[in-house]
Amino acid sequence: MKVRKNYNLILGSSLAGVMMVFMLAGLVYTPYDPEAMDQALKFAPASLAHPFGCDQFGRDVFSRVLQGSGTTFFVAAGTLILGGGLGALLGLFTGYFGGWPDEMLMRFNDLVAAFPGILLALVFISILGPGKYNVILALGIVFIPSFARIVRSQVIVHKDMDYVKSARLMGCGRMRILFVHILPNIKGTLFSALAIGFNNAVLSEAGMSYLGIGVQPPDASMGRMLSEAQAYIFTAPGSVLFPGLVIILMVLGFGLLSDGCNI
Amino acid sequence: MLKMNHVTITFQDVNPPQQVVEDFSLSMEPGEIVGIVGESGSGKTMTALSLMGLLKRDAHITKGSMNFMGKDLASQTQKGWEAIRGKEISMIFQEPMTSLNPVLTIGRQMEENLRLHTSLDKKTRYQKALDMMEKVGLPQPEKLYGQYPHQLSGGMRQRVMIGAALIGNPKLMIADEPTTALDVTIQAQILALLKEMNREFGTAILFISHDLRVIRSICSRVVVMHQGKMVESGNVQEVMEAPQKEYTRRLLASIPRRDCSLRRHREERLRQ
Repeated sequence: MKVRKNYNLILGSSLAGVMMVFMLAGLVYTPYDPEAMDQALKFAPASLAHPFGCDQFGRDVFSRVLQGSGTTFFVAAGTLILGGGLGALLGLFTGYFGGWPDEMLMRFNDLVAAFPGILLALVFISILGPGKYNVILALGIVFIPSFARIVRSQVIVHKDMDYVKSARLMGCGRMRILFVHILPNIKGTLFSALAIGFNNAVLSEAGMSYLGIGVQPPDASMGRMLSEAQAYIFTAPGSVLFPGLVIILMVLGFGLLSDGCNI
Repeated sequence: MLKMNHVTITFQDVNPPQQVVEDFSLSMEPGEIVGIVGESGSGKTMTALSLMGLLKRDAHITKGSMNFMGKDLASQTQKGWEAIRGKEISMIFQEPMTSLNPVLTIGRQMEENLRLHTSLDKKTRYQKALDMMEKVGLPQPEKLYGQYPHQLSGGMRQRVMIGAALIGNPKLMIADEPTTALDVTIQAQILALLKEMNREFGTAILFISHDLRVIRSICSRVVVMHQGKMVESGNVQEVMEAPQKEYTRRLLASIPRRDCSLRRHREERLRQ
């Protein structure tokens, strides 16, 4: 029998891999100083020296996109660690132990989920003030319920399975059952949820920065670049096109990866 | 070794409280194979679960005492149970297809018991797992060690379960319908294996089944249960040859025979 190729996984992982390298590179290296302005290069079109062209201040768009995607990666990863980590833990415990803590936390989850995510993040930002760490905190909190819910439902499915029963018969404690026996079984679901979560974090960060409440200058951010460049969309399309393209590719890559994981 | 005296298990959440096991007494000596036989819902599995401290939250032991090697089983804490399960008493059950964790290797699952109850190092654990796999008749243990449950057949998985249950050298193994889900030839192999393990390790086996023929082929003593009550108990030969109680007689008569005159046979038995 010929094994059907998982094109989603292949395409998704290669695209996500390339974007990952791009983002990680942006954290440590840019060809030009992303802040350096040069009036002579104002609205310069794409060339070998400046592959994505230059913006209204003559800054190198490629360098700015690199740095911006680095920032995006930092924010998205932080959000996942905070929201995904806490959410997964909550889901594990509430799903396994049930009872009134489960009921309480799930109703609290409903409360958070009932708010539009971006609105809730806006509220947090207006209390905490903008900046990338606050964006991480705000998005992380917004992300907790969805992860908790996904993990919880999986734990509930698995906790009554025979293999858990046999682990209990061997004398495993609850924590061991939860982390050694159940967690590896829900890894697949968790991974694809994390990939989707990464996408959502990227988009939310871009959206918030576009609105001016996300990442603040001097940190470059693709959302902010889009909002700054949109006034010059006809004069210098490159400075809008490329940040947008990078966001699209990033989201597409991780979206396909998530589909590929979840078969 | 094991003494259960007049144990009653009650579901207390329903109104009126329902007794699923009533006045059950059993004693076992080291190395003995004792069978519990009865139809579905007769309380066999409940009795077994009470010995492992795994009764559902709403089921309680309301009367009687259970003593295992000087330990009072009725008053164990969670921690106490965790030290008993797998180490002193282990249990295998009906579903070999689903009782193994699908994402952990066979070797890893064989070793789980040793990880929990001993402080053996990695190499010793590996060696012990391989030895045990060989003893329960699994071919090519080195290869099998790294394989996953879905690559094994039902019979092999039940062998893995038995191996994993015996690797910690427990005093008592509870086998809850271990052969019911397997086909007949594999059944015979698993029964032979259980007998052999009983001889080799001296592990006492509490064998639960609804199948009298299986009980007869493996046990020395048998307890017949019906609707939560002990109907009859004693030596397997005696109970099978000369049942004292009506229910046991009917249970024996329900075994299908090779001849076609099943009904006549049954009627004869009843008349006796």
